[in-house]
Amino acid sequence: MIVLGIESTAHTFSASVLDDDKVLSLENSMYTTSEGGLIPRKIIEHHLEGFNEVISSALKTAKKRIKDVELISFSQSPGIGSVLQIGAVIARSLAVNNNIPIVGVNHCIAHLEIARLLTGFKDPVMLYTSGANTQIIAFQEGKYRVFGETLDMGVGNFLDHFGRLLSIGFPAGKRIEELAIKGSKYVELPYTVKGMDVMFGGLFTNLKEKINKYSVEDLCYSVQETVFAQLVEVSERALAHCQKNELVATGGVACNKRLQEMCKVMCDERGARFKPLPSKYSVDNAAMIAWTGLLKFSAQGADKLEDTVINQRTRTEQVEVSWR
Amino acid sequence: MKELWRGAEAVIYELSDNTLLKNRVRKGYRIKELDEPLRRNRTRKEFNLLKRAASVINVPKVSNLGEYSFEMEYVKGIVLRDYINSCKDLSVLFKQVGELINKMHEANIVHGDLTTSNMILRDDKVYFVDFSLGDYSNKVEDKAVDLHLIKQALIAKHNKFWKTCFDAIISNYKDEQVLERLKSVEKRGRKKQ
Repeated sequence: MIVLGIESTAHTFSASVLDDDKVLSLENSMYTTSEGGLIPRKIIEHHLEGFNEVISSALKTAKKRIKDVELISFSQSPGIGSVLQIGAVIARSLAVNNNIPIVGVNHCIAHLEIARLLTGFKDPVMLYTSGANTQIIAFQEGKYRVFGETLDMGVGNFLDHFGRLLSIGFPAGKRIEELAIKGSKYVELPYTVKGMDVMFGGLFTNLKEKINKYSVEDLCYSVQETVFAQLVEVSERALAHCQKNELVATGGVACNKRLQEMCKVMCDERGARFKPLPSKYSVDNAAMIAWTGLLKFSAQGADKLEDTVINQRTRTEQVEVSWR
Repeated sequence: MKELWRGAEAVIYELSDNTLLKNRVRKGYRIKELDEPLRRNRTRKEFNLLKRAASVINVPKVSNLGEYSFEMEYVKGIVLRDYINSCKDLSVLFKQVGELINKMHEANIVHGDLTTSNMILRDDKVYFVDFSLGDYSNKVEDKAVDLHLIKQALIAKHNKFWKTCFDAIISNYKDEQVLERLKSVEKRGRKKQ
C-alpha cells in the first residue's frame, strides 16, 4: 500500500512516501535560526513557503504521483497548534481533492512505532527526548504509558536554553555535542532524579552562574555527562520496574552519539539490548507518520473527515492503540 | 554471597537468613567524577534515612555502613506489585500505605521512588524499602512529588485498580496543603486536556 505521510508539529515540515514498510522517500525542511528560538509565526511562514516543494519532491523521489497514493497520514497531535493546523489542512485538501482515505496519528507514538519497526524490538522501553518532550514510555495493558518524564522542561528545550547562554543558535544540541568532545574537565552540576522523573530547571539556573567561570568546552562536556546520565538512569529504572530488556532512544536529542553510547553501556551492563536509530528517523520525520498511519488504517480503517481536527495537547497515554 | 536481586542501581546479596547487603554498583555509563560521589552520597543518605524512618514506620533495620554499601534486615514477604492482582481488599491495603506515607511525611522524610515495587507486605504489615532516592524535607513541594510518583506508578502499572488504591491512600493523608500542591505538580510537565 502506498502511503503519503505529512509531519508538521514544530520546526520541521516533512513528507514521506512508504510502500508498506519500505521507505521510498523522505524529504524534510527544518526551520533554523542563528539567534532566538522557535517563533511560531516564523515557523508558519517557513512551512507555508516550503510545503509544496517538500511534498512534490517526496513524490518525485518515490516515483509516484498523487493519484498513486492510497492513504494519507498526518500528524494530528500534539504540537504547536497553528503549525499542526498547516499539516492538517494540507492533508485534508489532498485527501478530499484526490479521493484518498486519511488518518491522523499522534506524533509521539509515531516516534515509537518507527523505532520498533527499525530495531525489530518487540516490546522495548523507549526513551523519547526532543525539544518539548522528555518521556520514558513502555507499552502496558493496551496503551503506551508514560513511566517517567521531565517535571519541568524538555531536555532539548533545556539544551537550547543553554545554547542561548552560549550564543550558538537553534537548535543547539549538535553544536553542544561538538564542543563537548573538546571538553575534559568535569564541572560539578546539580543532578536531579526523582523516581523515574527528571528535572533540569535547577541545573539551568546553576549554569547561568557558571557561564563565564569555566571554558565553554568543559561546560558542554559536563552538561552532557550530567543530563544524559539522568536520562539513562531513569531509563534503567524503567527497564527494571517494567521487567523489560530492550531499549530504544528516539527524538532529536537521541541523535547524540554520547547519549547513544551511554544507553548501550547501561544495557550491556544489565544484559539488555539497545539499538540506536539512524538520525533521520530519530528527528521529526514524516516516514514515522506514514508508518503509524498505515498501522492504524490496517487496524481500524480511515478516519472520518470530521475526526481529523488537530489536538495540540493529546497525552501519549490517551491514544487508543488499536494495532497492538 | 548469594545474589538475591539486581536493581537499577544496586545489587542485594543474602548474607544470612535475616540479613542482606545492599551494594551500589559502579555505572559504566557515568563518568567517575559523577558516579562515585553519587553512589557514596546516596549510600550514606539512604542509611541515615532508613535509621530515622525506622522510628515512625516499618522499614528494614540497617547496620554496618560502608563506602558504597550497608547491611539491612531481610524483610521476607510479598512485593505489592505482585500482590495487587490477587489482593481481596485493595482499599484496606492502600489505606495502610496512605498511613505510612502520611507518617513518613510528618517526620519530614520523602521517599523519592514510591512504587509498588518498593513496598513489601509481611504479616499484614506494609514495609517501605529502597530509600535510595529519598530525602529529608519539610517542603510541601517534595511531599506532593512523592504522592505524584505513587499515583503515576499506580496508573502505569495497575491501571485497572489505580483509583481504588490511590483514593485509599489519600483518605489517610492528612496534609491538605500537600494535596492541593499535588494538583499543580500534575499540571507541570504534563499537559492535560
